[in-house]
Amino acid sequence: MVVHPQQVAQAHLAACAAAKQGKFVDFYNGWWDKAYKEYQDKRDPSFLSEDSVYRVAGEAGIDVARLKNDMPSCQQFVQADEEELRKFKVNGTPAFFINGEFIGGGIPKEAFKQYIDKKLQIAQSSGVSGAEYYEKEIRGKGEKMVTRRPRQQ
Amino acid sequence: MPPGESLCNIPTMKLAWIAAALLATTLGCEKAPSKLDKITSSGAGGAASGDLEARVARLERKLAKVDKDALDFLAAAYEQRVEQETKAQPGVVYGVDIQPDVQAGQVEGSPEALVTIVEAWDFA
Repeated sequence: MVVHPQQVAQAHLAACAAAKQGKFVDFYNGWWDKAYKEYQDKRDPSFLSEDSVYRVAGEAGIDVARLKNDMPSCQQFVQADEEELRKFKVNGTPAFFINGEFIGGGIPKEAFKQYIDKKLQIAQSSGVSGAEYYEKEIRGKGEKMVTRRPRQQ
Repeated sequence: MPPGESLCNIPTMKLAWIAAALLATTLGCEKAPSKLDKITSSGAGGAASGDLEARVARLERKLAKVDKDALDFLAAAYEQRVEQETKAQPGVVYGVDIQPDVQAGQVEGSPEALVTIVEAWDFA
């Protein structure tokens, strides 16, 4: 889910469009490995450009013409993602919800694993199947946030 | 005063006596000692010393300190509130809606998994 797509709007639209081809993970990994890493290493913003998006997509085996065609229709989806996260007060990345529990920022791998193990244990003892677990136990019973309307002056 | 008799009908001598009695009562009240006469300090704040300007200045300093303490307290409470309002809290289970992302194919891993990790990310 996207928090602040403004900086690399095209990349976010492309990720959504890549998902329509079943290639979300390929684009996602390709972007970090071949675009963002290069940008970081060389401090060259052209690696975050629209051309770079299409290059990464092509290298990931994505139909680029179709991708370009699908990208505009992804705008609404990306905005909806932003809205959903804003409801949960997520205002920085990386951030995670592990079975609904919030973890803000990067944490050591071992700590991350401990969270997962703890949540796995709880889920296993619930007796609910994996296919139903998130919707029933997390989405169903977890805190649901609503966007607060600004106060009337 | 008897019914039907107005003030104008009261003889002059009687009026003079009434006036003298009222005057005596008033003077008596003025001279009677009051418990308040013994209070010379400003009460709760201890002895009041110095001229009026000094006392006002002292009161203003006290008031400023009270104001500062109150504002500090309110600022701390506000910060705490903002922290709670602007950040998801650890230890709480949040029911983030992931269905749109799952349906859009922005998902990795088995749909049978017992643990779901929602990642909030940016491509930069």
